[in-house]
Amino acid sequence: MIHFKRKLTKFFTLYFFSCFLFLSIRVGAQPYPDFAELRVIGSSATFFFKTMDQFKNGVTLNDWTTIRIRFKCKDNPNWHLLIWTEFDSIQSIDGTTSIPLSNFSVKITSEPTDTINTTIDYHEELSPSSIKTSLIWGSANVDSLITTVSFKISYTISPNGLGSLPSGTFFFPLRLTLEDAP
Amino acid sequence: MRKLIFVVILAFLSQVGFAQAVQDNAVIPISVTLNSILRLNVTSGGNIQFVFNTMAQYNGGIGVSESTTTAFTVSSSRAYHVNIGAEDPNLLGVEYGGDLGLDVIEWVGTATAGNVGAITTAGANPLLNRTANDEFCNSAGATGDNPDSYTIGWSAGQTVSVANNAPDVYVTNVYLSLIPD
Repeated sequence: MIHFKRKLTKFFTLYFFSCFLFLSIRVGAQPYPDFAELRVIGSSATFFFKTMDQFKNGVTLNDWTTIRIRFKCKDNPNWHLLIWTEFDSIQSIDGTTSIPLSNFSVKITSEPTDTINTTIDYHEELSPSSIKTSLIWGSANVDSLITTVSFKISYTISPNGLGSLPSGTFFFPLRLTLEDAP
Repeated sequence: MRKLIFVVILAFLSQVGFAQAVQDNAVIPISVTLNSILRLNVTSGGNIQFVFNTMAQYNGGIGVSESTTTAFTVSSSRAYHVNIGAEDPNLLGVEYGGDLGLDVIEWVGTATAGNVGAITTAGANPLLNRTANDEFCNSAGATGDNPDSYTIGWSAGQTVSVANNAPDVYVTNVYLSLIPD
């Protein structure tokens, strides 16, 4: 039993020593480790249709969400922000009716700003689907600086076909994925 | 040698511990709440009276005029139809308790703005009991910025004579029912 405890103590001592050693090496070689950070302010959106004007012209939530991207990848400077949803439509709570996803669109409404002036491009307007689609993409600086991009997005629900739907609440999760681009 | 191999393995494990996927995710729940709008507003002609006091009226009836026209508007966020029907199976005599067939009353529908052409049956239609679910008009879609406007031209005693009925004041209420499709 004592022999086992000694072995266990030795194991952990060596493990933490190794961790410390390689952490030191990594920090020394690369000031910022590879990472992707997606920060979302305004992390939900609710559309209310309660006037004839809204049923006629749709509803837009302007500059509703602010997105901040921070990215660093030494092996691949390319990044993109994908939007998608696993839902095939905007579904009613009871699941009996739905609004086509094509009624919903995301629009970048403020010029993305980048702290280190890397290349950025984006779709001005996009409807999500089950296929992951790039909303905004860019190429990060290859040196040790972190790319930080900020922008605002608006959401719109067009009124097409809403007149044939009963009252109720419809829902879908909009998913955002920030990752290194191929 | 064994210790050296051991250290190398541990070093590899420590690397695995530091490995991070270059990816981050967020979920934004999107919800849409639809509050259906169904409004029917009678703008004029909420009370129609036919007074028969000449032989010409008894023989030829009383036709549609401005004073026998009901105007109403519809605002709807959905496709809709409007049913028209009398509350009672007959016109009921107020003073003597007799009755008069509903078919002495006829209506002609006109769409005046918005959903023009949506009157279900053109021409004169006999007034029916509301249980018959007689359709006045229908619309395949929601109304526009401005409400759809309709008129009902009422006439009496033209197709079915009111002659040979006891003098009385015969009344009924007519319901206009706006129903979402």
